[in-house]
Amino acid sequence: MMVSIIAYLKKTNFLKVFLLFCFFSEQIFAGEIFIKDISFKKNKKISYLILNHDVNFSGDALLALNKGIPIRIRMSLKIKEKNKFWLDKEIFSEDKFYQLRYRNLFNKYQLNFNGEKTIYLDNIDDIKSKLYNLEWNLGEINLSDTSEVNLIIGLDQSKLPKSLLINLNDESWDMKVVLNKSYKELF
Amino acid sequence: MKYIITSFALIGLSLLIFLAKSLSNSDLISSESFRALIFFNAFFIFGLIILIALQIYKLFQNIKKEIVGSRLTLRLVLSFTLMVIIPVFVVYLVSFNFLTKSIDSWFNVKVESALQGGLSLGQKTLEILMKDIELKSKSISYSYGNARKDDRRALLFDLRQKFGISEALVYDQQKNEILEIASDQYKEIPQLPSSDDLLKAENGFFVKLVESDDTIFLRAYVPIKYHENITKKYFLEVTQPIPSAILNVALSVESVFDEYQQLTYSRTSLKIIYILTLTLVLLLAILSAVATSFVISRRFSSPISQLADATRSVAKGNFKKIIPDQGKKDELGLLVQSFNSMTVQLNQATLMANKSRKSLEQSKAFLDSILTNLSSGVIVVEKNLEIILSNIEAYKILECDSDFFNGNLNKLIKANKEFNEIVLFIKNFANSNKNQFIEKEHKILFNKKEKIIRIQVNKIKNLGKVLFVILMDDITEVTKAQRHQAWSEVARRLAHEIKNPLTPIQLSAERLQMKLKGNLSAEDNIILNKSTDTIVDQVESLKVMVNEFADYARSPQLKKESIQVYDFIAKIVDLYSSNNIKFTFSKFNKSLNIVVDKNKLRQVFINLIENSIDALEKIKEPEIKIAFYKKNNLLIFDFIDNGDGIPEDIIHRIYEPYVSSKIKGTGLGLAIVYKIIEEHDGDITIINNKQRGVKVTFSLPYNEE
Repeated sequence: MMVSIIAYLKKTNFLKVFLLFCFFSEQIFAGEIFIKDISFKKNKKISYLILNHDVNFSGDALLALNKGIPIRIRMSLKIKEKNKFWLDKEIFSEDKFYQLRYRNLFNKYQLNFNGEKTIYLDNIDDIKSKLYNLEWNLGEINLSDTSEVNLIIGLDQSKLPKSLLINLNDESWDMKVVLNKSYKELF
Repeated sequence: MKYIITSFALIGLSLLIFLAKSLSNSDLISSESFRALIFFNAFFIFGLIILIALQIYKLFQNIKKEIVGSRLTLRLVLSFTLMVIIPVFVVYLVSFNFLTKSIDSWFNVKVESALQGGLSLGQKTLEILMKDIELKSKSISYSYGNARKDDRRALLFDLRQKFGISEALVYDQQKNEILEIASDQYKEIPQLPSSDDLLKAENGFFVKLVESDDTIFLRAYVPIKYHENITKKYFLEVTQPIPSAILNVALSVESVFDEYQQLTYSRTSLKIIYILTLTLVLLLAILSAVATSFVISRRFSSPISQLADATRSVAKGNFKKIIPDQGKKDELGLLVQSFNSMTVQLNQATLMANKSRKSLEQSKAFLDSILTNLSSGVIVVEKNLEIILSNIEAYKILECDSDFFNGNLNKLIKANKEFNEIVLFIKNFANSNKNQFIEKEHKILFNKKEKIIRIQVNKIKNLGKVLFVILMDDITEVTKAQRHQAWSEVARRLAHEIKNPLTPIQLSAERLQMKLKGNLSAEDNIILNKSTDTIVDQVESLKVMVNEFADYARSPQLKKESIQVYDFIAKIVDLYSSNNIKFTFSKFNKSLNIVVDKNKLRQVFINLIENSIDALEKIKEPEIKIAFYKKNNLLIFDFIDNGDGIPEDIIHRIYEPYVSSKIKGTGLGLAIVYKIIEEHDGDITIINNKQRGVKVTFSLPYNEE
């Protein structure tokens, strides 16, 4: 396998190799959490962001989850109104999180939203289904083409036990995705 | 640098405390900041290593430059470092071993089995509770479905109470509404069951966990089958809380199990993190201690270095060096004060010594000046004739190098054997017990030239030591002058006393011859003539002698005039052209003029030529060479003949009257020559040629006027 890859790399030029590297590196770093879809809806002046994202646990992260280590996913949403000649105006900013934990007593996964609502689920797929179409109440804001949406979803490493910090260089822990697009680009 | 090191040490200590606290107290520092803390510590350690390396480099540079105190600082630093490293390293090894064994001891099969068993117990209990709620819900559902329509509500309430269920409700899926609710206490309308839950319940039973108000409930869904075979779908929802006593125990077991699982998972990480922390603590402790040891070592070595530096300065003669007194009352402070006091005293003593030395030097310079300018030679010797002082005039008089005056006086004999007499004279006096001084004139030959030296030896006592001061004067010229003076006086008297009666004697003899010429017999006549002739001849001789004496005694009044030297000498030589002597001129310049008393200079040349003629009488090829030439401000005359020369025993006294190698000579010729040259402020030397003959060299001051 490796021999064939090297043989291929020898035949191809540097530009191709670089492009391939860029492509794969994007896949690696965006890997574990990725945003499938994002949309906005408005209901009686109240705007909602509908977030559809997926979380894939693998390697050490999955092992830690199954050992009962709580894993918190933090979501940070900022919406700015772009100004051409002045500083951007932040019209919305809110942090949310949900925490996953395997409960050995119940043999179930516990999903908790913002420390309030707790549900118990049989497997990770059930969790993923619960994460489908998350609604984010934005309140009464007016979104325009000049609005810029900045969404960061990532593993909150600060909530992990200290002993794990030493292993955080493992790629499986590098769970983070950043979305920074204008409202116009999204729709 | 001192403040930097102190700051570093303080920061290191703070980090050390933070690190230790963060391990024991999770709330104090978050996981994220803990990682930052570890990195910061590592970075700080790196900084400390660089700082220490710089310090070591600086210290070695100081040692290389031989800065005082740097070696002491190095020793102190090494001592402090060893004092810290050895115990801390031992503690580290023990802690390392203890830590790894402690962590390993946390995990063993028994503990894991016990925890697993406890958890299984909880799980089984939960299963039993689920089974219980399943039976209860199914029983209620069956009873509710088969009861008469009117009795159903009462039955639901009755069964809920009977089974000890907290809440039971009947849900109409088609209408999506709750038909019946039986609850011992509900304040708000319960949520409608989710379609997912109902879908799962369609198979007969579904139970799920619900968490509310810190209590976990079991919520079961069972389809209701009415005996009327109604096609509509009805579901029974039964909610039963897990008994708190069971739940709390089960949750605590789960909590411990989770913790154990987490520890198991992070076993290696834990080891690494604790060892890393321990290593960081060790490094921080050691490096902070080493960094601090530089400051402490410098504090210790600083006063000692200052003392050493000051001592070096004092050794080099700088007695003004004062060490700043830092007001310390310890032994070092006392040492500094004592040192300062010592240097002040030394400085005062040195100033006094310098003053004395200057005074002594001035006295010595004064004495040297006197000795140098003294016309007499001075030599100071000890009793054993060791010379302790001599002046330049002594070297000149004795015509010796100064080297001969270093050491014993006997060394002078090596320079000239003639000095033996002088040395013996001094030695005899030194060995005698005479307290007076002695004086004696010594005639010493220097290159065939006689010198009369008057030696006076004085015995003095200086600081209890007997010294002999030898004063010597070259009295050759004085003696010569005195001798000439005496001879002049004699000559003058002779000329005066003898010349006057000579003419009457001669006339009387001639008259006697003339009167008695015819009156005597032939025999008597012969005797008369012979006697009178003898008288006349002798009178003539006496006249000549008297004239020479008169010339010698004549007063030195010179009538100087300018003459052309060559013509002057040539005319004199012409007078002797009849003689069979070859006169040769060399090294001459015909145009040379000189201002002299020409009659006296003529006398000089005549006397010299006359002397040479006498000396050349028996020479086959007699020759006289005359040369004159200018040299510096002198006109030098060389007069050389190839005669018999002058006997060596009289040549050094040849200028004296009545000293002559000739049988007939009066011995006044060269004495007159010497006197004339001396009157002209000139100089004359007479030596025998190496082969034969005499060389007379005289010089006269050259004045072109």
